[in-house]
Amino acid sequence: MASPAIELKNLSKRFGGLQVIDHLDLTIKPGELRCIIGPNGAGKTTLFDLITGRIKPDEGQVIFEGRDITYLKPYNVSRAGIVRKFQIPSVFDELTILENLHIAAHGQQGIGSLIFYRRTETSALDRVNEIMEVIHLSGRGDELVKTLSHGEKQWLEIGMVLSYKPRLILLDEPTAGMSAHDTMETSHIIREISRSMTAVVIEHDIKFLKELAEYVTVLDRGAVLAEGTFQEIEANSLVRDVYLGRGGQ
Amino acid sequence: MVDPLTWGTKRTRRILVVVILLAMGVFPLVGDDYNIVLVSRIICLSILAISLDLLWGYTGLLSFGHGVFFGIGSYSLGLTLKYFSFPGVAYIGVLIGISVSIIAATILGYFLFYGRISGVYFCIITLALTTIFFSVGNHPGLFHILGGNNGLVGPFLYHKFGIPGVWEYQRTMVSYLANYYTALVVFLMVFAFCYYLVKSPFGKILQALKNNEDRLEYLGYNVANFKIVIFAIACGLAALSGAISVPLQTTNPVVFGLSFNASIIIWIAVGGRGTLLGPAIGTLLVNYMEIWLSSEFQYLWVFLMGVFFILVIVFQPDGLLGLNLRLRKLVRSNA
Amino acid sequence: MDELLIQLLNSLSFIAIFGLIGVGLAVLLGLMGVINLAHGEFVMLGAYVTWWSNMAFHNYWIGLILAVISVGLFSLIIERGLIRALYDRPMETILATWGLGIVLREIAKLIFGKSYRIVEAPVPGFVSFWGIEYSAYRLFLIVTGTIVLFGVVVFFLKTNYGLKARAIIFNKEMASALGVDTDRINQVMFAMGASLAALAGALICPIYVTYADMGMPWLVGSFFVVVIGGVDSIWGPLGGSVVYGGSQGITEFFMSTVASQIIVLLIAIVVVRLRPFGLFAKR
Repeated sequence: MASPAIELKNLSKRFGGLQVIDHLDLTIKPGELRCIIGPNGAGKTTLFDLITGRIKPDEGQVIFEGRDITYLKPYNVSRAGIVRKFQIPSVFDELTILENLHIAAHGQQGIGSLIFYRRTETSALDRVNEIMEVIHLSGRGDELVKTLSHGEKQWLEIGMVLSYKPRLILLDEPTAGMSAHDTMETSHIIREISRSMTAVVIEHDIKFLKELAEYVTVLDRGAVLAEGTFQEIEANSLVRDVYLGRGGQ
Repeated sequence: MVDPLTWGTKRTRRILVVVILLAMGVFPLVGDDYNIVLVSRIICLSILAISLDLLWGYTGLLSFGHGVFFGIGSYSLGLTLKYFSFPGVAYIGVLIGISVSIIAATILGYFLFYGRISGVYFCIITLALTTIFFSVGNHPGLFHILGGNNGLVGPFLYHKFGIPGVWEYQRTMVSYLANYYTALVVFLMVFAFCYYLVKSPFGKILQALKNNEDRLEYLGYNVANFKIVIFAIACGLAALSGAISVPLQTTNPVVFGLSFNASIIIWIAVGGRGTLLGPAIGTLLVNYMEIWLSSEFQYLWVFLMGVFFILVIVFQPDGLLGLNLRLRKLVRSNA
Repeated sequence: MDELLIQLLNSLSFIAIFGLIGVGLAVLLGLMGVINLAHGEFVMLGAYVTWWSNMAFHNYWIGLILAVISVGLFSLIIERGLIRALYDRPMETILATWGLGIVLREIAKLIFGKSYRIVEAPVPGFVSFWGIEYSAYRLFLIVTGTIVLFGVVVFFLKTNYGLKARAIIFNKEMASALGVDTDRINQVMFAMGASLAALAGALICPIYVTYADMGMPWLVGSFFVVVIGGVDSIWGPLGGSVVYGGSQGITEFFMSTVASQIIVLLIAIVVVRLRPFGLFAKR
C-alpha cells in the first residue's frame, strides 16, 4: 500500500483563454474508491481526458503505478491497465452483448491471433458469464446492444470495462440519466467492482455519493478545492458556497 | 447493415448456395461467347467490389481510389508479360502485382491512419490518388512502356496462362471457358477468404471499429494498425482482381480515373454494403443495367444511371440486400 | 528569368482560381462535414451560363454576373433538396453529390451538346512590363480573383454572418446552443461557395474550353487545396491554394507535369501525416 495507484502532479491545461486544469495535484491509493465532484465546468471530464491520453497537458505529469504515462496514446494507457467508462454510454451498438464483452476481453491481443483464432477456452466463457451476472444481463448474450435501455447500456459498458481486467477504472457519471432504482443497482455494482481494483468516479447524485463514497475530492475551476470523507465535505461551507453560488448541480 | 450470410434458415442457405454454384458452373455451357466474356469480366469486378466492401462496409473506410490498386495489379501482370516470357511467368506477375499493392497500401496506410485520417478526409486523399495514377498511366513520356491511353496492347498478351504443360489457355479470343473458370475459381476462393475473415474476431473488431472507434481505442486496441492491415488486405485483393482481368480486357488507365473508382462504390451501394454478397450482386446488376439502358436510351442512359444512383442513396442506402430486411420488418409489423 | 516571371504569373492565376473554387468546398466541409462532389459542376455551369449569355447578348460581363447569380440560386435548390435530405448522413451525402454530378454533366451534354465551346477573352491583347509580354486577360483574372477573395476574407473576419459561420466551424454544438441559426448559415454559405465556383468558371472559360466534364479536373485539384490547407479557418483554402497552385506552377517549370503532380501528392501526404487537418488547422 506504499506507492500510490495514480498520482497527478502539477497538472495544467489551457483551452484558448480558459485555464481548465490549474496546477492540480491529486493522489489516489491502490484499491481506493475515490469520488470526484464539482460544479459544471470544474474540469472533471478533462481530468479523465488527461489521464487517459486523449489530450496532453501543458505542464505536469500523470504517474500510474510509478510509471509516467503523461504522453502515452490512449490505447497504450489502456494497456497499462487503466480503463474509462464514458459519460454517454459508449458501446458497440451494432453488435451483440456477448460480442461486446468478448471484444473488451481481448484488448491486449495481437492482430495475428485475432485472424487465426481457435475456439474460445471455457474459462474465458465462464468469466463472461460471471460478468453478465454482475451487470444483471444474464442469458441475454445474443441480443443486439442497440435494443438495450439506457441503463442497461451503462451496465454493459461497466461489464466491458470489467471484462478487460483493468487495475484502475475511471467512471464518468455512471448513473447519468438513470432512474432512482437503477442508480441504486449501479452503486452496488460499483461497490462490487472496487473490491478488486482502484476506482475513480465522477458523480453528481447525492444519494449515490452517500451510499458509496469513501473519500471525496472536490474540484473547482480546475483545482482541488477540498478533500475528505463524505461527511466532512458535506459539512464544508466552502464547498457549499461553490455549489450554491455557482448554481451548479 | 444487413447480413445476408445469415439470411433465412440454414437449410435454405445451403440450398441457395448449391443452386448458385451450379448456375455459375453450368452457365458457360449454355451462354453465348459474348455473355461468357462479359460475365467473366463482371466476376473480376465483383472481386474488386467485395474487397472494397471489406474496407467500407465492414470497417467504415470509403476509398475513392480502390480502382488504382486494381490497375496496379493489371499493369504489374501486363508489364511482366511484356518483358519476360518463361513458362509460368504469369504467376510471378500476379504475385508482383499483389505485393506492390500491399506494400503501397501499407505505406500509405501508415501515413494516413497514424495521422488519424478517416471518414471524409480519407475519401479525399484516396480520390487525390486517382489523379496521379491517371496522369502517370496516360503520360505520353511513358508511352512506350505503359501505352498511354490505349493501355497495354501487343502480342505478349497472347502468352499462355494456366499451368504449363498441364492446362494452358490464352487470352479471350482463344479460350473463353478457361478464362471464365479461372475467374470463377478465384472469386470463390476470395469470397471464402473474406467470409472467414469477417466471421473471425478480427472481423468483429473491424465492425466495432466502424461502430465506435473511440471505445475500441480505450479498450487497448491500436486502431491504426487494424486499419492498416485491412487496407493492405483489401488492396491486395484488388490487385488480384486486376491481374486476373488481364486476359479478359485491355489494361488501360481508365481504371485510374475517378469514374471507374466511383463506379465500384456504386456497385456496392446498389447491392448492399457490408454484406460481401451485395457487392457481387450489385456489380452484376449495375453492369447489366448499363448495357441494357445504353442500347435502349442511347443519349439518356448515363443520366438515368445518375438519377437511379441518387434515388438508391437517398431512399435505400442499404441497397438491394437491405431491401429484403426492410420488407421483412414491414411484414412483421403488419402481421 | 523572363520565363520564370511568366510561370510565376501563371501560378498566380492558378492560385486565384483554386482559391475561388476551394473556398466553397472548404466551407462546406468545415460547416457540415460534407464533401460536395458536384462542386466542379458549379464551375462548369458558371462557364456555360457565361458562354450562353455571351452568345445571346454579345456581352461577357452580363454573362459573368448572370452566372454567379443563377448558379447561386440553383445551389439553394440543391441544398434544400439533396443536402438537407441527407443531413445527418455525411457518407451518403458524398455519394449523392457524386450522383448529382453525373446528372448535371449529362444534362449539360444534352442541352449544350458535346462540342467544346469557346469564349473570347473580354480583355484582349497583351500588356508589357518588366521585360515580358503577358496576357491582359490573365492579369485581369488574377486581379479580379484576388479582390474577390479579399472580399471573402473580410466577410469572414469582419461581418456578423462571417462570425457566425466561424463559430459553427469551430464548434457546431456550442454555436447552436448559443442561438446561431445553423441551417440558415449553412444555406447562405453553400450558395456563396457555389457562386464563387461559378465565378471561377466564368473567369476560366475564356482561357480554357468549356465542355460538360470541365469541372472534374478542377474538383480534384481543389481537394488537394483543402487537404493541404485545412478547413478550420478561411486561411485554410487560401493557404492551400497558394501551396498547391504555387508548387504546381514552380515544379512544372523545372520538370514535367506528371513529376510535379507526384511531388505535390507527396507534399500532401506528408502534410497529412504531420498536420492531419491541414497546414492552417487549429487542432
